[in-house]
Amino acid sequence: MEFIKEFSVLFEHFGFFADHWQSVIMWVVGAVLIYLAIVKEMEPTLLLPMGFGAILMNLPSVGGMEGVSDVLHTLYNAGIANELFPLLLFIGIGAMIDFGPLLSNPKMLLFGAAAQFGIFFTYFVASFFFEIPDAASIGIIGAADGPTAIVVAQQLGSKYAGPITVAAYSYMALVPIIQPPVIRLITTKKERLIRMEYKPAMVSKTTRILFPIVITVIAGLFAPGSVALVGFLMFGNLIRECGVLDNLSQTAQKELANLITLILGISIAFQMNADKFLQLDTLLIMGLGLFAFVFDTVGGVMLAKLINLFSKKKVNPMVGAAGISAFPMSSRVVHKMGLKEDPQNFLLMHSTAANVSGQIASVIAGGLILGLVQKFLGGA
Amino acid sequence: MKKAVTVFLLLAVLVSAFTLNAAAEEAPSADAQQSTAEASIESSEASIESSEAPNESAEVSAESSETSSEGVINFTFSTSRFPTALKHMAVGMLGVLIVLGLIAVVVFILNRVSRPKK
Repeated sequence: MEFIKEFSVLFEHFGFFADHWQSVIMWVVGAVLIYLAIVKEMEPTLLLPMGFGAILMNLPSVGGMEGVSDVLHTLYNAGIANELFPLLLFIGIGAMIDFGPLLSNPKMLLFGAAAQFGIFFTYFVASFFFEIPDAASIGIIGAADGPTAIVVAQQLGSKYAGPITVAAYSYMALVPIIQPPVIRLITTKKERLIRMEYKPAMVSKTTRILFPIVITVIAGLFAPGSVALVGFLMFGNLIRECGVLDNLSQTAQKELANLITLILGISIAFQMNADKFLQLDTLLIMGLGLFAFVFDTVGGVMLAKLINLFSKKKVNPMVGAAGISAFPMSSRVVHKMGLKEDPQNFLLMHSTAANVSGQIASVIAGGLILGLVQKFLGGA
Repeated sequence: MKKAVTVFLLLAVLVSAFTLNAAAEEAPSADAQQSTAEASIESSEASIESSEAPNESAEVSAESSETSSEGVINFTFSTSRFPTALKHMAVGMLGVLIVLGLIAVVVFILNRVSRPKK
């Protein structure tokens, strides 16, 4: 009898499911994220840790299991709440990016700017439902840039930082699904077949070295809120381009970026507790995030169409869609779409130039939003 | 097509979970009803005691109002924020275009000034 009583201890947490069926839903969400990461290979470095973390965070929190959420909470406070991990990750991203295609064709910077339209339009739409700081933080999902979304949401003190981060990273992974139908909807077959000649102008080493420094100074003057993000991104790029710090550049691109990504993914999962996550607010935020990505794409494509009205050298409007910051997924999507329409149409270098400009533009947009909202809150 | 189906399934799971969760939180369960009944008995007792300790009862009512305000839906439709958001949208979009345009000009000048050695 004593044995059976002891044995029954093994099953005492099974009652957890009756009261916490929402946790089971979160397991399913976690499983789908893991499935998308492994089987569909969609942003596996982030979706897999997030998916596993979602399961981990929704296990019965009794006795020793409480330690799991404590550990994730500690990681969250140590690296996300204070914006340390996103900024460190930006050093790695900066070291990975070759701005060469953009430097040889600086006009592409305009596509990066136009493809931030979704951020501001979503902010405007979200303001009908949420307070200004929350609406601005939701709009920044359209930056298609996880670290920027985290920094803006944290600095504006949004109570929706968790869902915003999850939406930003999830939609980044879903760019190959979101963008093609939108691009097809707003472009004609004839426009998609436009060929663009690629004649890369040689870029000097001096330009490559001065570029990150100049960008940081300009961003600092116009959008001081973006200095931390732009500064760390450009610091990583300077390490890459200076030519005397190859070891540091390699470390930033591989070890640093991998380590931070590994911890970042599972730390974000701290916000994926069923009680916090399964709310109608979250659903609306996810919907607005999708809206932001759609209108980013629309903004970039429309600018290309506008340029085509006045320019002799036609631009394939699909390249404009690559102006979002989801690097390098968006440029690959556009390149593949171009090849599908015409197997001889190579858009990769043009779309890469637009895509890296989107990386800069999204950070500057984040800084501008921070400045505008903080000024409003200060004056309100 | 398969990807679209996967995403659709994910969204379907999420929508149903959110809806069920909202419905579950809105509809008081049997336990909740029982606890409400107990709470009403307690509150009537508290109201008797409140004449003796008015400050205490004020604190309790403040706490209970805080708890009741924690609803499932925290967002509300309002047009009062519309002018601010519209202004921020215009300034922000224009700001991004100006800054990126300026960077493009600077890069153009850099390319002119510093030509690569052949």
